[in-house]
Amino acid sequence: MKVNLIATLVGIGFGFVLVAARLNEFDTIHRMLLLQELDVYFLMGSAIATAAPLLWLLRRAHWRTPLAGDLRVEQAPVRKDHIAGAVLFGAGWAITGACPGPALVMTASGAVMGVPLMAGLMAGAALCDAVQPALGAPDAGPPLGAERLQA
Amino acid sequence: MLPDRLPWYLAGPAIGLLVVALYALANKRLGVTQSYVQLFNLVRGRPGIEVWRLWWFGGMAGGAVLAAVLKGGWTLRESYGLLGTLLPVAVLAPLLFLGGALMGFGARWSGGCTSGHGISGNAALSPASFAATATFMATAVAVTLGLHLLTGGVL
Repeated sequence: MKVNLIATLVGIGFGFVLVAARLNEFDTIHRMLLLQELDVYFLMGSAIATAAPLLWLLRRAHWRTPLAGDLRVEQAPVRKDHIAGAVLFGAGWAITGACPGPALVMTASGAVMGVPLMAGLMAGAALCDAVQPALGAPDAGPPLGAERLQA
Repeated sequence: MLPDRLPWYLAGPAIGLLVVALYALANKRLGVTQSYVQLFNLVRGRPGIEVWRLWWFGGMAGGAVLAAVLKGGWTLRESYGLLGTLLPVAVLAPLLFLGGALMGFGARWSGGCTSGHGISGNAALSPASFAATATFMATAVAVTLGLHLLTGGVL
């Protein structure tokens, strides 16, 4: 499948850049979250500033992807799940100093301690999927503020 | 061959272009967390695996190895930055497992992580991603500064 090939190639690029920019190191993320070094914020900001206008233009041009039909860019209204999950995510990120991408490239670049981290990520994600019916699916339920709009 | 650290003004736009490439060619949102789920489902032998996410995961690992080699050699190491100097492995490993679980659970619940919401979703101008990113950034900074104060500036 060509989609798998594209995913692999873009994945190689992403993993490469994360390690090249030292996002695979606890100290880089820790200094970012301590607000001692702003590089990673600039990195994220410039990534968004590069991609946002290009995606906007592609959508405006009704871009048809060569492999998977008309371009569909995900835009979701805000629901409480987005907020509640993000609080837990932020807390875990602060403790470990590595979010899911950096956890993977840290391990692949030779850090043994990335193994329990990745095992935890997998267990937590699987647990969420298992209890999801009780929490409500991330894309179900009314958007925040919907009641107000209806009133 | 690689500099010690690729500066943000090269790494950031490069990541932005990768986000656009994955959308423009394959109609997929660049994000990492779901790959963990797919890998878990594969191990459990569950049906309905999104195979491209496994290739994506493998690609990222390959790119990481390549960068490590070009930076001066791939080496197996037990270190974990500042946190690794403060905690013995017997404490650090379970802590990382629990922190990872918290993140994995939260990312799934929130519908994305630092890549899916933080970069791709924001670039797609998705309100959910704006809200999620603001929330996890504020939380992560608050918890990090809180731990810094609690440990008397050691962490």
